[in-house]
Amino acid sequence: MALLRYITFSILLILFTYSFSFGQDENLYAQKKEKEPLKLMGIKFGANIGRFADFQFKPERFSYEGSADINLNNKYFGLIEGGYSKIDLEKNNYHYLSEGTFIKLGFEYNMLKKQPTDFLGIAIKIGKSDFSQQAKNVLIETSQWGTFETNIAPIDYSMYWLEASLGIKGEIFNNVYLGWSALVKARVSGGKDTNLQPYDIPGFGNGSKSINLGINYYIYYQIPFNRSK
Amino acid sequence: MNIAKKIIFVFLLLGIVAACSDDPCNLETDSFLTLGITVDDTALTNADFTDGLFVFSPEWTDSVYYDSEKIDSITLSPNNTITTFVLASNKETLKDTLWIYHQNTIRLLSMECGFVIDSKIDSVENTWNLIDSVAVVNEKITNEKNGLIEIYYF
Repeated sequence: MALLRYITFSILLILFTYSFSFGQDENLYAQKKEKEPLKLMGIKFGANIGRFADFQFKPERFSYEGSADINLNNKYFGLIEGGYSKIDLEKNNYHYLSEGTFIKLGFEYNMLKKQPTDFLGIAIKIGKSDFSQQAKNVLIETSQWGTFETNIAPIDYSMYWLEASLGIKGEIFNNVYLGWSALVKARVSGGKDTNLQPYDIPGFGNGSKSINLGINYYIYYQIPFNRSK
Repeated sequence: MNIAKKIIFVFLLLGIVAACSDDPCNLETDSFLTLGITVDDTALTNADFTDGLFVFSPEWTDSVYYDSEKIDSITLSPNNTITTFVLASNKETLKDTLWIYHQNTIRLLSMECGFVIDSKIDSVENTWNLIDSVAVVNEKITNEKNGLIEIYYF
């Protein structure tokens, strides 16, 4: 009986508190702002130009990455990114090969209000990579047994990660944008092998780390819709 | 040019200034096994048994000698899962043989160093000419941590 009374009292208290706070909200925001309906403002296609730096700074890697986003009200963006990466690293004592693709899905939020065609905002994405790796001509020098030679056959992996970024995009010419974003990527699952730690997971980066930081440089072209001059 | 565009160009310039290095390997790449030696046999002690104690494998060209109650820095065979060692002393005609049964896995230590061999000792068999008992104390052998087998002469 006491329990029933307690439950009844609790429900009444919650209802009272809720109705009181609702009343307060009405007083505070008497003038309700009209919500702007979502309007398609453009579809943007991009290419990661930072990958071209690989030729100079990471010659063992060949990779490319592109993106597409749907611009709603210059404020909300649904985006998809994808790419390919191949590592061919030949050292004196092994030949490491890795190849794979990745895809990222997510959304962006533009915080700029004064210059709505530019972008300064945040993005949240989920990424997936499918890749394989192998090692040929592995030579292990031992002080007492001489040189041991072996090969590691190709092994397939899948990996998931979450990515958050803070970025900026500026319209440098009509409908042409240039931008960069600072990224933090956190491993969710997969992509680990204690015997052969992946050197570089496509889209994620250093395979030995659970959190990777990075910077992307993109160039975009936007197909505009509903653009007022 | 608005602020956003200025920031873009500054970061593009910063991105071009990047470093690229091909570091040499500064890590230990051998995975060692230590044989701890305990002698409590009057005849062997009187004969200075440990002064001439050494271990060798039939496949080696050199032997590894006893030093400070142990025989250090020996490695298991990367080619086989059984490694044979002979324990002998210049002061004693009798010898003992150890057969170490183990598993080997190879692991990429780093891009600079390449691959290393990790081992796990499953069991040890031995002859009993001079050895009283053998105990595997640390069965895992990596480049960072030595394996340890204690050998007792009582």
